[in-house]
This record gives sequence, C-alpha cells and structure tokens, in this order.
Amino acid sequence: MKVSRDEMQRLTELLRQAYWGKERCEVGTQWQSSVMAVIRQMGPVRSTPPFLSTFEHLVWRLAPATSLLTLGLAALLASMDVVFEYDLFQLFLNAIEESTLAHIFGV
Amino acid sequence: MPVPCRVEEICNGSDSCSGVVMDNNTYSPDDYQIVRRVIAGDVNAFEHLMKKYQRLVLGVVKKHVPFDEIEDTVQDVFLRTYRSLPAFKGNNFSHWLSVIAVRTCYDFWREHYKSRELAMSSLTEQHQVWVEAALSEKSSQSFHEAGMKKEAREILDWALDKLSAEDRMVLELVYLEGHSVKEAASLLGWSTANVKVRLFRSRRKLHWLFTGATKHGRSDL
Repeated sequence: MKVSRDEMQRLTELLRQAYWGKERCEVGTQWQSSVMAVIRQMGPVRSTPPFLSTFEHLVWRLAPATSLLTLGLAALLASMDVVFEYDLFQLFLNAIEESTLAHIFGV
Repeated sequence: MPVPCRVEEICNGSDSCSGVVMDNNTYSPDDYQIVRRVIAGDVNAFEHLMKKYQRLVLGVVKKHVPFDEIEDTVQDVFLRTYRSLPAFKGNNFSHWLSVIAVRTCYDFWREHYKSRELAMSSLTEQHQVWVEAALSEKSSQSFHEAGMKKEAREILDWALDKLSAEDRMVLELVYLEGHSVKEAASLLGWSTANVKVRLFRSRRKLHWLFTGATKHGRSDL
C-alpha cells in the first residue's frame, strides 16, 4: 500500500504528540537521595584524571605525528644508499676481528 | 498543538527547564563556582546542582527511555556528571549536562539491544486500525482522547524498537524533538554526515514500517 507524503506527515504529527506526551509522566524523588548516597560513598571527585586515561589521550594525540615520522623515516631509508652503509659496516667489523686488546689499549 | 523544540520555547527564561539545552542563554556563572566547590571536596554542593537541573535531565530521559527505566537512567546521568566534573570547562553547564543525559540514554539503548531477544512483537489488529485511521483524512478530535494517545505511544514504541540504537536516537532528536542535524551531532558526539545518513535511513525505515503496518500492507509485520 502506498502512503502519500501528506498521510505520512499526519501520522508523524500524531506520533510526535505522543512522544512529547511521555514527558508528562510523574517520577518519584527517591532517586535523588540514592544519587547523593552513592556520591557520598564515592567521596571527593578526583581533579586529575587517572594516569591510564591521560596516557590513552596522549597516545591518540601523538598517533598522527608518529605515523608521519615513521613514513618520513621509511622514505629517507629508501632513498639512502644502503649498500654503501653495509660495506662500511663490514669494514668496521673486520677491523675489530684483526685488532687485539693490546691494539685497543694502545700498548 | 505546536511542539516546543527549542530551548527558548521550553525554558521561558527559567534557570531549569525540561528540554535539551543548545544555547548559551541559560549560562549561570554560579554553576562553575559550585563545580569548583565539589571538586575541592564539598561533595554536598553537588545536591544543589542536581536539584537545579533535575527537570532538565528528567525532561531528556523521560522522552528517550521507557517509564520503568527513568529513575535508574537519571541516577546514572548524575553519577556520570559527578565523575566527569573535573572535565567541565565552565562554558555552559546545562548544555554539558544535556550531552551527558543524551549519551546516557543512547548507552541505555545500546545495552538494551544487546540483551534483547530476537523475537519482536508485531502490531495488534487494533494498532493496525489506528495506523490506517491516522493515515486517512478522517482522523480528527478522537485522536486526542486518552485511549488514542495511549495507542499512539504504543505504536511509536513499537516502531522505534525496530530501529537500531543509533537510528533511534537520531530519529528522536531530529524528527520527533525538532533539533537540527548539527545540534543532534553535537549532543551525540558524531559527525553531521553520520547523523544525516542515519536520519535518512531511519526515516525510510519508519515509512516502510507504517506502510507495511496497514491491513493491506506486508503481512510479515
């Protein structure tokens, strides 16, 4: 069955009235004393947020910067001559193998 | 009957009101002082805030949750408010409280839907007749009678129960309460695009539900 725009509007208006009518129901006041009892039991509220939540906040705040830094470093490493660095490292290692304690302490 | 949907219409200048506060016109510098007192250790000062804003919170909660859950939800709102007081920056306490109240109601529905059984009730014959009569032009004064209003509420609850917690909140805030998309987004902490998408989806589903709820419509409802 097709429902026209006007029909739907009429129905919506009735439902809207029913929705706002929910506000008129009466609620007791017992909850107020319950809230205050719980709050008194909890004691003063902490003015500084717990460490974990602060840390969590910090992690998310730093996440974009960390990602950018990682990408930048990756790009830098990719553009560098890795083979040359490797040769230099090998040369350094060989030099260590050949040297003795006497050489190191200059005796 | 025009439905009040803006804070100016609901509050009429009073410091406590029964609707969600979106503007700065209910700002009271005293609130910030009281908040500072509570944070400093004067726990009993919170009672003053609670009494001042109980109508506002009740107004929000009554509309969003079932009657038998109102007291528990209101308690939850004020306990969350108390715990979050250090985060209050002193801009507009009533709006800040409204946000907590709306999000508590949303959390209520999320929990409710998680524990809900899959079998959902269908509309009774009487309800179907009501929907058909409401759709027809014959609907008149009889709809303002107490019995008809009760049926309207039952049908509304039935339709809202078919939606997800997210769609339900958006539909209630924008479609039924008359908030703008931006206001609803601010209250729920979502993007306006998300609210728009959910609003479109929920309106379409509502339309589909009522089309199917009539006698000549789909029988699977």
